[in-house]
Amino acid sequence: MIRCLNEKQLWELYEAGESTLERAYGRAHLDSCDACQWHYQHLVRDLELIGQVLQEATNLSRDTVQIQGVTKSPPLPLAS
Amino acid sequence: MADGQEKFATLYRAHHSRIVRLCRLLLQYPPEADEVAQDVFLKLLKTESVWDHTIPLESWLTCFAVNACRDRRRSRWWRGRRETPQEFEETDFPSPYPTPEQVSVSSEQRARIWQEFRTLSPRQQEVFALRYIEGRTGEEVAELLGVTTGSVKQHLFRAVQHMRKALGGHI
Repeated sequence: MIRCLNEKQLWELYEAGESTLERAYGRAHLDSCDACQWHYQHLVRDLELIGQVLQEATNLSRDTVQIQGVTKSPPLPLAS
Repeated sequence: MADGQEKFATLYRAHHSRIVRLCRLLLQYPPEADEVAQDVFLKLLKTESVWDHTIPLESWLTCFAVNACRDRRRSRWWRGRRETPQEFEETDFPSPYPTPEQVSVSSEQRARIWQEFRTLSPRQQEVFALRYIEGRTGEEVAELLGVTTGSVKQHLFRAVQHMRKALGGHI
């Protein structure tokens, strides 16, 4: 593959991982093209950053959730 | 019964944080998300059939959380009660020490990322959260949402394109 990879092709390589035969040509181009490498690294960095921001903001530091001083515990079964 | 309660408590401890996180991603009003997460575990408690291990409990919880969030978004009563769209308030759960990565992401970038995430379609939010926050494979996401892997890829790529605009990294 001689032509540079577009955003979708780069993303597909990211999704496919290292060892898929179907993406072998794209991977070969990526490995040999500085421009595509640069774009690929940006894609990876962006996805990591977005994931980090969304994950951090919704992470809970404890097993239980404390909201306004109230600790939520596992719901108790209702008496049958 | 005591054995069942112990099993439930173990499961709750193992998955509660993850389910709350998922609900908070899919619903923009944190107290509502916390309530839905609690409902998910109540439902688990009441649904005896899930304990027969035919469906992995982790998948069952995820599936039910996604569906419960979807139902909640459709609920008129809650729609009326919701405040204006807001990003998650990190001050609710302050971390004692910021990591270097946290320091390097500007508050402006964080706000833009949240803003863009909230403008994704509900399906795109679900796919993005399950794939990149929960770290599930495309096939797993497809199975959980009951759609094809092709559909997952399509939604995911559109979501990625949209989200990257927030960072100015669009090619």
